[in-house]
Amino acid sequence: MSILDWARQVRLLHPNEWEVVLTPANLTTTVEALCANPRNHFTDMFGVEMGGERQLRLLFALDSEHGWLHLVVPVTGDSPHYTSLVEVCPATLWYEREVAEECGIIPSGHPGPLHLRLPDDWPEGVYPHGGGFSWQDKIPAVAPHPVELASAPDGIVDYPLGPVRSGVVESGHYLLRTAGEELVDMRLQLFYKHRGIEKRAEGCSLLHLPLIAERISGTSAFAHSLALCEAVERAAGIEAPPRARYLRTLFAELERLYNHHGYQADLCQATGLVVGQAQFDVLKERLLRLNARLAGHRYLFGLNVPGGLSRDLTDTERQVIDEELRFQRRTFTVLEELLFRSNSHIDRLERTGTLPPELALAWGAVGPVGRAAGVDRDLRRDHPYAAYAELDFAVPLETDGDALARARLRLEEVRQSFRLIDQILGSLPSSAVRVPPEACMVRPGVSALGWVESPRGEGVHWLSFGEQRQARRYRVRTGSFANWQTFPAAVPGHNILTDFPVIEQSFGLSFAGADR
Amino acid sequence: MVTFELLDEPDSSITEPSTALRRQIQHLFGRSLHIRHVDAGSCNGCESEIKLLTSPYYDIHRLGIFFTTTPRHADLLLVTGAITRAMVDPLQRTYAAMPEPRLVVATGACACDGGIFGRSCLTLGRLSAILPVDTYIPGCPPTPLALIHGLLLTLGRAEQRLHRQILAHHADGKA
Repeated sequence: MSILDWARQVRLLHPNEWEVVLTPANLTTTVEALCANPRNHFTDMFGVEMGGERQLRLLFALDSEHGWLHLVVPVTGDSPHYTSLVEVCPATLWYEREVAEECGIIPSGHPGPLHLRLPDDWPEGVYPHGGGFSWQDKIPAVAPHPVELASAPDGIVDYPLGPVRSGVVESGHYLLRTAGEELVDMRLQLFYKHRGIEKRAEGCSLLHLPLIAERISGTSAFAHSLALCEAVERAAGIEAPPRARYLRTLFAELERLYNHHGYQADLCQATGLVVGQAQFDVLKERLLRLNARLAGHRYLFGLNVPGGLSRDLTDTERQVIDEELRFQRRTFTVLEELLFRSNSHIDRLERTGTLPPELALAWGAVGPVGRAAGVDRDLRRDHPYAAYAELDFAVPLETDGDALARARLRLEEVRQSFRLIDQILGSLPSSAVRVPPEACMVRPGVSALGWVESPRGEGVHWLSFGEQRQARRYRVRTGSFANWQTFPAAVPGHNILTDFPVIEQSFGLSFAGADR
Repeated sequence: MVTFELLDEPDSSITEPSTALRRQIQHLFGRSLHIRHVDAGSCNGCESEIKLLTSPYYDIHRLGIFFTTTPRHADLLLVTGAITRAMVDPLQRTYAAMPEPRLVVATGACACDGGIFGRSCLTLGRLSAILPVDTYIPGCPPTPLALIHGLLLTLGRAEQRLHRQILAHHADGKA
């Protein structure tokens, strides 16, 4: 089946959002055709259960002109099957496992286990997104069935790390395989923190949904609530007022700034550069205090609401941002220079944890991790949301794919964020910051997509509504989830055990965002 | 995979030490407290704030409070998150590995009472369901200053700050 054939059956759901219904039989050829064009990017894959009917849904990002394409595959029967897509699109690996485990739609010929996210004591055949129970229901524990790994061959030592690891870090488990000093392989066990965010959102009203989105990843709270609110607004067919769109851009960039400062601080900690860590922590703390002053919350919780923002920015506050930005710029310029003169820091990053560009593209790396390995994608530029289409900024790109490239890329992004904030403060339109809540009406059965370039990569939210303006299915694909899949590829090859903290911090991924 | 025997099980019958014993423990840890942090399903907001405790603006070391990598050197277990099912076992093992006397602090709305997750199919919803909690530090996330206050409160080095009317309300048994 060629693209032209199914192009006739394509339906436009919302501006830049297309849908095509397929059968399991012609799914593989369609995905293969889509993947053949390097401008199309596999974005998400999930299962949906609605009124007893199950659907497999795939999401592709097309070029800027066409936006997004949903592939909808209705499936029937007790244990519906489709042919695994891993061979035609390697990035679907984790997604297929998630769909199998949480919706009961099985990929035939999938390499490896189908278990992914649910705890070891979760009973088999209970599908969180297969219908039949609510988030509050108690699911009894069964005897744990952990995945058994083959023991290490002679001369190779397994080095388990986690889930409770050194320092104040999130929970996750690594199994590092070492031959002497050298790291030869690693296994990743995430999802210790799976809280069932998407399940929790089922049946929630428009009032509560942003609260849930903010807690997907607390340090990307604004990005995720923005994606959610954009999805709600698209579903309701409304648009946030111009001032709200500009302010959302402002806050999204402030969030990127404090995250990128925190990232450099963590990276300095990994290389033992205490002064750098302290200085970047100072910049981060000052921005968090600025956030608290502007929004009443250090991490910008409670600011995004469907239809706009919950509060406006006064002229005094505008000046406060301006003054803080001047301080940030000055200090940042000095720090950046000092950082590149610290050989103890730079030497640890150079050629460490290299993610080969061809793997980054094939495995669907997004955000700074992808851009540091030559994947030239940024939703702010490619599929503009909020006010990004009206602002001038550059998307930095690196091709080395090593820790240094990832660190350098984020430093450049900080400078671009400064530029964006300056432009916003200089051209803030005057209007209301919120459409009246009664204008935000969503019809039962309507669904829509919201997307955002969060500090850690593309966040894509899909929301479908049921009766009484309540969420029926909420799906979140975070940048961290996409990037964790690529992470083990960067570990083997010319890295030693003590490089591991550097590699981990240089990716700067969130466990909470991936585990949800 | 390395496994180890549990040193002991948390005894649910002993949850409240007497006031005199609590004073003794507080005296013991007074000016030197080592904390082991465990994330049991947070959104990373709490970790971000806890990490800043050692940054120049707060520098918790000046108060004699330190973070330690191993639970065997820890006096206090600082728990964040809504206690996911998968983290129950690691959390209990961490607690079991701590020498006694040991303190437990529930940090953030999730660890205190489940936050927006509550008791669900995937979360226990509160730390007190599996471990005896000494102090609750509410907030979503609690700010670094709130964290410092909560820790000093645990050590008896700060007073509980409640409005006089609320205190009277509790004294009358109306709580």
